[in-house]
Amino acid sequence: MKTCKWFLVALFLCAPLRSMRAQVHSELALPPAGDNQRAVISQWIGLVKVTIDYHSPNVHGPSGTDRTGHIWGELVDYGFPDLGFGPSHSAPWRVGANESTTISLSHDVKIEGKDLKAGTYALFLDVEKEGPWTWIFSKNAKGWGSYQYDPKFDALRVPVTPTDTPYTEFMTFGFDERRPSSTVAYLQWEKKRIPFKIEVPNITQLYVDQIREDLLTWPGFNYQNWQNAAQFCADNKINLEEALVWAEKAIHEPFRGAVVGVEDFSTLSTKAAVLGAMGRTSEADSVMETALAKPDTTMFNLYFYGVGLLRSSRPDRALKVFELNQQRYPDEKFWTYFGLARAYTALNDKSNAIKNWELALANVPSNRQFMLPQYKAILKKLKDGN
Amino acid sequence: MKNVKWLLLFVLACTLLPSARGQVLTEISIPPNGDNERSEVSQWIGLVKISIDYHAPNVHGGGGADRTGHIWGGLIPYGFFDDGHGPSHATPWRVGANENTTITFSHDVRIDGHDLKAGTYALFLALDKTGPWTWIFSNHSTGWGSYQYDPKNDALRVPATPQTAPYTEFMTFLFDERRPNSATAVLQWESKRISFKIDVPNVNDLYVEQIRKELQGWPGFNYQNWQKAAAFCAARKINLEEALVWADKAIHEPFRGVWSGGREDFSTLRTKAAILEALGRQSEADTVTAKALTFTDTPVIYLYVYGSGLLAKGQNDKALQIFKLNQQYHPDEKFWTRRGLAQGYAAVGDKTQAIENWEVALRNVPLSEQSDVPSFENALNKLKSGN
Repeated sequence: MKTCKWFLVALFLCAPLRSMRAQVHSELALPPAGDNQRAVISQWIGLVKVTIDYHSPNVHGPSGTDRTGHIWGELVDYGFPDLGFGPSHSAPWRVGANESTTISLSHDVKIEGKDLKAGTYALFLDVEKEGPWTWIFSKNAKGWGSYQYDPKFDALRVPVTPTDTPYTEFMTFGFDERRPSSTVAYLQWEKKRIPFKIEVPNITQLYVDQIREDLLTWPGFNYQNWQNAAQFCADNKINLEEALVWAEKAIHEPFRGAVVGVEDFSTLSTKAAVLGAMGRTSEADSVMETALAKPDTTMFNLYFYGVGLLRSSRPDRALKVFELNQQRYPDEKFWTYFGLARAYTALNDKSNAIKNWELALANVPSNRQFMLPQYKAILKKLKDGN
Repeated sequence: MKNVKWLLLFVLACTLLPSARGQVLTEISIPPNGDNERSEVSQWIGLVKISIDYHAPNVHGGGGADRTGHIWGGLIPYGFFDDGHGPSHATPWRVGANENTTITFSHDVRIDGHDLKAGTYALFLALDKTGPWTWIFSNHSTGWGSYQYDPKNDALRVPATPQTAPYTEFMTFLFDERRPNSATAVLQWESKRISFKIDVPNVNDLYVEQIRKELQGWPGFNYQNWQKAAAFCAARKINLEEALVWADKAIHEPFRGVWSGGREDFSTLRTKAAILEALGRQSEADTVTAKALTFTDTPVIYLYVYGSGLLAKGQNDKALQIFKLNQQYHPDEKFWTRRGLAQGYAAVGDKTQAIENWEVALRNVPLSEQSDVPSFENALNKLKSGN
C-alpha cells in the first residue's frame, strides 16, 4: 500500500534507522502504525485450529477521505509492485497493515484442494485487474509489510476469483461455511470478498489419533472415556477393531484400582454399536439382550434404543423394545406410548399407532408441551390416511 | 434453542449423569455437540484485548432445513424462557451453541457507556418482540448453554436495537468501527445485526502506564525508547511533564554503560522541543529547535518531513528556511531537498523558483517515490498553468 511509505518515513523521523532491526521485546508498547488496530480471528475445524492475525485498515483512511472505488488497483497496487523499500522489488499485498498478516494452522490441511503443512505462514494477495487473484502462503512469516517478500519462501499459491459484496469499511477476515471437516476463510473489504477453502479430509482420523493419546493420560483412568471413545468410532464407522477393544475395556477392565470397569446398559450399548457398525448384527443383538436385562436400565435407555432400531429400519425389534419398556415402566405414560406409537406407525399398524398416539398425547410432560401442535398434526395425518 | 434439549437428552443417554460435571482435562477429545464448530474473534483497542469465544450454529440446522424467518422468536424464543433443563426456568439465549459464549476483557472498559471491569463474562442476549433486546454480561462464565443462568450473577445489562443485515448463514461475531479508543462488537445472523460499543476512554493512560513500566525494564537501556516514549506523549499532548524528563534522559543520560550514553541530535532535540511546544513553552522550544537544526549530519528526509509538518501548520516562511537549510546540508541530494524547496516556494507564492525546483526533483525521483510521479507532475502543471 502506498501510504505505508509514509508510515515508514514517520518511523524514520522518530527513530534512527538502526532501531528498525531492534528485536520486538526491546521495543515499547506504542499504538499501531496508522492507527490500524490489531485483530485475530480463529476457527476450529474439529480439532484443527486456524488463526489469522492482522491489522485492519479502513476505506476512509487516516485523513478521513472516502477511498471507495480507489482501493483495488490504486491504494493496493495490481500485481507485484516495487514498494521502493526493502530487499523485494516485486511484492504482493500484505492483506492488511503493518506487520505481515499471518495464518497459523495447527494441523496439515488442504487449501483449495492443495496440501499445506501445519505451521505459521505470512499471507499475501496478488490483486489483479483481470482474471483471478492469487493467495500466497509464505514461509517467511515474520516480516513487516511485504517489503521482505521473496517468492523462494512461497509454500503455496492458489488462484481465487473475487466476488462483489456489501460495503465493508474495515478490512475484515472471517470464516464462513463452518462445517465439521472444512471451512471457508474470506477477506472482505470495500466491495470485494476473496475466499479460500480450508479442508481437513482426515478429520475423523485426527480425532481417533487424539483420543488414543488422551486415553494414555488421565482420561484413561475413567471407564466412561473408553466407552465414549468406542462410541465415537462406532458413530463414525472408523477404527472399529480397536474400538471393540476400547468398548471391552470400559466394561471389564479394572482401572489400576482407581476405578473399575462397569457393565451396564450404557457400556453394553456401546459395545453393541461397535459390533453393529462392523456388520456383526446378531452379536450386537445378543449384547443388547444382556443390556436390556440389567436392572438399572432406565426408561430413556430403552426408548432411545428403540428409536435407534427404528432408524436402522428394524421396526419389529423396536416394537419388542418399546413393549418391554412399557412392562418395565408401567407408571410412565408418555415416552413408552410415544415409542409404541412410532413403532406401530413404522409397521403400518395404524389402529395401534393411533391408540398409542392418543395415550401419549393425553400425557405430554410440561417440557414437551411446545411440541404438542406437531404431535397433533402427525396424529391427524394418521387418522386422515385411514 | 429448542433442539438443544434433544442434544442434552442424547448426552444423558450416552453418558451417565455424573460425567456431565467432569473437568475438561478428564475428558477425551470428541467433536462439538451438533457439529457447531468453535470460533474465536479478538480485537485490540490499543493495548486492550477483547475476545469472544463461541460455537456457531447455522440457519440451515442439523437437518438441513431452511429456518430463515424462524430464528428470532422461533428457534430462539423471545424474552427469558424455560429451556426445559434446570436449574434456571427463565433464561436468555446463550448467543451461540454448546458452552455459553464468553467475552474476555484484558482491561476495564465501558460498554455502551457503562463501566465493566476486566475479566471473563458469559454473554447472553434476551430477545424482545417489539422493544430493544438486552445484552447480559454474567459473572458466571463457565456454564453449558444458559441452563445455569441466574440474574444474581449479572455484571451488566445493556439494551440494544437489532437492525436488518445481509443474510448470514453462520452465526457470526465480528468487530466493526475499530478505532484507536473504541470498537463495536457485532452479532450477525440470518437477517439481523445487533451490536454493542466498547470504549476505552483511558487508552492513552494505559499506554503511558505500560510505557513507564517498560522503561524500567530492558527497553529502558536504549535512549531511543525514552525518545519514542516522549514523542508519543508529545503527539497526543498527554503526560507532558514526565515526557519532558524522558526526552531529557534520551538526550543526556548515560545508560549504565550498556550502550553509549544519551544522544543529542536533531531527532532527540526535536522531540524535546515538541513537548515544550505542547506545554506552551514556545520560546524554550524555539531555543531547542535552533540547536537541533545545527546538526549538519541530520538525514535529508528528517528535515524534509519537519519542513512539511511546518507547511501543514501554515508556517510557510519557517518551512522554506528549513528546506533551504536541508539543501545547504545536503548539496548533492537532488530529490528531497528540491521537492521541499518546490513546496516551500509554492507556499510563499514564488512560482518561478517552485517550478525550477520541481523540475530538478522530477529528474531525480528515487525508486521508492516512482509511483507518486503523476502527483508531482500534476503539482508542477498546476503551477505552470496558473502563471
